[in-house]
Amino acid sequence: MWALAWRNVWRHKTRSLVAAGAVAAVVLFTLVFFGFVTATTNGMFELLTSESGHLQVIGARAREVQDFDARLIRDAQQVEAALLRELPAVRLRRVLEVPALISGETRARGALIVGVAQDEVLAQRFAQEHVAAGRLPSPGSWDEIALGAALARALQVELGDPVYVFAPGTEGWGAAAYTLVGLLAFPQTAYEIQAAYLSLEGAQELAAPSAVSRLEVHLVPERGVVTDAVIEDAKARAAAALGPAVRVETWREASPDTAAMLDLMDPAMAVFSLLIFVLAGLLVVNTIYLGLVERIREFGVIIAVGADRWRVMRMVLAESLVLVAAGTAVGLLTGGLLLVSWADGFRMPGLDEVLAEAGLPAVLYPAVTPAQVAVTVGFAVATALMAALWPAWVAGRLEPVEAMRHVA
Amino acid sequence: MTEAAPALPPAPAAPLVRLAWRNLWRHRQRTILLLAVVAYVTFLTIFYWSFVDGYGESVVESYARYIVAPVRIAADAWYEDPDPEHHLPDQPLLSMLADVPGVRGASARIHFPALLQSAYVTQGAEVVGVDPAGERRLSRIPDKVAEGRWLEGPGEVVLGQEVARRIDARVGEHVVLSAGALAGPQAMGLQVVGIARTGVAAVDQTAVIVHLEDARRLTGVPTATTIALDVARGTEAAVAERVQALLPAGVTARGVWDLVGPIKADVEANQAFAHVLALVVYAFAALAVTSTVFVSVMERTRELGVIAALGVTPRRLGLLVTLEAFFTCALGWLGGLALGYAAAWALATYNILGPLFAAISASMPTAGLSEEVYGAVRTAYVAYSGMVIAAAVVMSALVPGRRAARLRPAAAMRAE
Amino acid sequence: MERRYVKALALAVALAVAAAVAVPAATQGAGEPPRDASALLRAVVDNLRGGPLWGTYTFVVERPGRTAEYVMEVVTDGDERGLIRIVAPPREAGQAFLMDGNDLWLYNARLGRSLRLPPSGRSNAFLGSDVSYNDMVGRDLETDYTAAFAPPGAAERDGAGVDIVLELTPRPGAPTPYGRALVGVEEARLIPRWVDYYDQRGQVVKRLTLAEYLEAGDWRVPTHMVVEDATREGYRTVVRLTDVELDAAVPEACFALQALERGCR
Repeated sequence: MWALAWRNVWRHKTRSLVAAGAVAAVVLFTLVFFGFVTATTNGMFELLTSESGHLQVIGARAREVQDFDARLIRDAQQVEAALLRELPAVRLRRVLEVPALISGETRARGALIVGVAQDEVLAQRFAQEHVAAGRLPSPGSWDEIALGAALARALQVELGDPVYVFAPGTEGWGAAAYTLVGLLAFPQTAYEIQAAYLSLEGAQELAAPSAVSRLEVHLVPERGVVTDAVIEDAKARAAAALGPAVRVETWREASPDTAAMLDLMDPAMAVFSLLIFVLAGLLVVNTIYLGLVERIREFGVIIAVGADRWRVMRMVLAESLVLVAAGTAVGLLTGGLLLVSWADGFRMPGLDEVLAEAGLPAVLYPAVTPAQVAVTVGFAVATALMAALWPAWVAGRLEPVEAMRHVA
Repeated sequence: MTEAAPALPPAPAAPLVRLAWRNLWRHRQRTILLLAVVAYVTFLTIFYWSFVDGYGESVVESYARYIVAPVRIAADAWYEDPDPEHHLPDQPLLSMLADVPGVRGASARIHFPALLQSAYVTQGAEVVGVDPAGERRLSRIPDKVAEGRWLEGPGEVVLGQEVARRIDARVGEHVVLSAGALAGPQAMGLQVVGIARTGVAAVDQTAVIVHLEDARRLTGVPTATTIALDVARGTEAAVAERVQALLPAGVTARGVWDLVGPIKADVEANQAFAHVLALVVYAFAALAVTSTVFVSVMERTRELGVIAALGVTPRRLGLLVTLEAFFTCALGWLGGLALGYAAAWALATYNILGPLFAAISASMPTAGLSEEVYGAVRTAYVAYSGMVIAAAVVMSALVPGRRAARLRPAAAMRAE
Repeated sequence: MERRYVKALALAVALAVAAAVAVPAATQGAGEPPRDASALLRAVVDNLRGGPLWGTYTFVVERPGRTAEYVMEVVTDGDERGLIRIVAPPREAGQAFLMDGNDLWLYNARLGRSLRLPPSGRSNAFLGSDVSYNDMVGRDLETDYTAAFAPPGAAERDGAGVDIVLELTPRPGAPTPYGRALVGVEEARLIPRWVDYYDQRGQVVKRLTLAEYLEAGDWRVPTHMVVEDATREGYRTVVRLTDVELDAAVPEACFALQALERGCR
């Protein structure tokens, strides 16, 4: 049976090659496509959470009230200690945001002072993403400031110039002078013209000793990626450990807009996948089906010499399976090799900036899940077999004489 | 077959065409499959480009009508450093501009930074002072006041929805604006008369709009910082150029495409990215068409052998095969064009894409997407899809056509 | 010697004028309140500010679980201008504030620099207390609001010592974030006993309670002021005014920018 199928495959060399090639192309294309879908989704998740953290600890009333000091977490040290007891292996970014008036020698603007103290890894990533010139204020510094590039332009100040900050109605110094040490670039101009970064200690001295606006918790997965389930679990533990004095939110709760954007990826990709799959399906069906239609005549002959319909169908099935398996194997192999060759990251040449502006990661790490491989292979095999069995079925229903005269 | 046979031996070009045409309908299943592939590829190409171009156009449109203006006039120094001190010179620019062909309206604006204070919160804000009537013709924001009403006179302010939420201000309440520009520190209480909900994140999150007179009092700017021109879609650059001739030195008119800032690169690169992605899809599509044509030709080896035995020269046989493929593809292409343009028309007429983008819009304010994203309908799509199909036909006709041309009747008739 | 004589003479004249004014006021007070609410408000604000004076403010800022104390020297012309220089605690010492009409300047010893603040800063909290700049200096109650007699029962306070309640409504365009203010006035001395600020939704957001008036000739000034944040439990500031020199001679130099850094005494 299999030997016959194998012989038949080789007898129609060109036809077999085209059919197997079509299957291989579909598998390859779909695999790479899935690879990039996963890469983009993962990359966006990484990017979004690297800005906001996976969890945020904020003041208990921070969602209800708007005034500065009612939103704060007062005893930041204790909260942090309690949090780290519960979740020891996390990276923290401590943030104190202070609305303030900021001025250079000639101009003044309303601004948002952001005091930050963060884990080394987070600091490096932040600096890489956002520092356009100079550097971030040194940790613990009381007199260094980095401004959004647009804000610095509006204030007419340059690196090394003094910058004055006045934060009325707060509990710290309320006013301080800083040296401009860095210019920051943010994709959102509205933020760039507002943002002024200090060390956390500097901001606390200025406005709210020992307080923070929020703690951003970046979970470090033991292996693989951080999933929503892991985040929910961490949230529950942190919330239980910290009590009602603060509020713990997942990044989805903290920035629902961003989460919605990520959630939109799935349906968007589903639509795109559907369009691609229809094309792939047509490709496979056409090559396999048309390759066999011509052979209805041949099947008629076989049935005429005494074989029953099932035997013919088994034969076609075996033949097609050999073809499809070969094609799938070739597709999987080349697709797999491609994906492996991109394992260290795939860069769209020249498009880094664009991708960043659109909120997309510049380096993609294509990867496929077993489910995606299964869907790909399943789809290719199923469509191919359906396309193959139809002519055999038709042949079986025809009178042998009809079949022998059959024209597609 | 019997009908076609008598016309064969002399076989000038026209009967060959007729034969090819008739052959299509004899092999109905095969033809329909090829038709479907070609039509689908055409449809996909048009749909895809309608979407990509429509996105780009929608971004530019929302910059023209919500965020900036179709054409903006400002001092060169202001473009560099948008501070009220670089305001426009004291010249009757507005009346001058009214006569320029293509300018449907002109309205002065003053942009200035200020502190915005409610009973609860103070925050920095970028304020724009406008002429309420002039703005109505120019901008869509006046139509998008969700609560209360648009500005009518001095002493009033319209806030973006998110701004109002953040400072906790409601319609009917007053807020305080203070600014320090040419007039020194100035402060003013203004009544919130409207809250705008435009769906354009950049507007909803930052808009603080006051009357031009109040802006003049707060800043001390006697003229305006910019003049916004209302011009028809697509004529922005041309009108800006025409207007430029009338402007004094140091003042420049820019069309919306030059005003979108970083988004310009974004949209352009998006198109580039779209082309790359399209190439991949094209290749895949061409593969589908080619293989279908290829297989359908190959499978007819025996039939072709019969025709060849009737005396048709191999060259003409190749032509016959190619013609058949050509007819099918042309038909499929026409069908695909109809389907594709119908879909593009639907995207362009009904706001189908807008809700899809609503979620993205809020988290990317600079992208400048409004609630309305329409597909584009351009004639170029005929060419795009035509090129894909043509490439596929050429590729597929090359191999099977040559195969048919090389055919030896006796061997072919034995072939299975 | 001669200067002291002139001063004494001026004081005598002032007293005489004050007596002449006070008599009709007192007689009128016994019957019905002054007809003109604006005139009454003017008198009330005069007595809130206490005219030109030198003095020392002590702020005790109370927050749930903690308090902070600030000591500062103040000099004002009783009108639109005032200079406040902080002397304790050491951390804030040297900071100074100058108010002159809409202009608000801040001097920070650490910066060694004066900053001009936006006018809306006047209603911002001062040193993280519940007191705003315009609670201490200036006539914002008069310039930003129009006064009317409040209907009986308008106030949410008990009436002890208060005969008249003035209702203040913001003037159009006035840079105040409040919806209205009520002032409880003791009629006999035309002094404010309390001021309640309402937001625009009818909620009291800030309460001033004024007591222990010091009187010198024509001038009266409260030496005890409690400012409560009515939106938050446990947020209040107690202000005491000591070492007061009422009806003082205040040199112009006190309201020049140089005074921020060096003072003017």
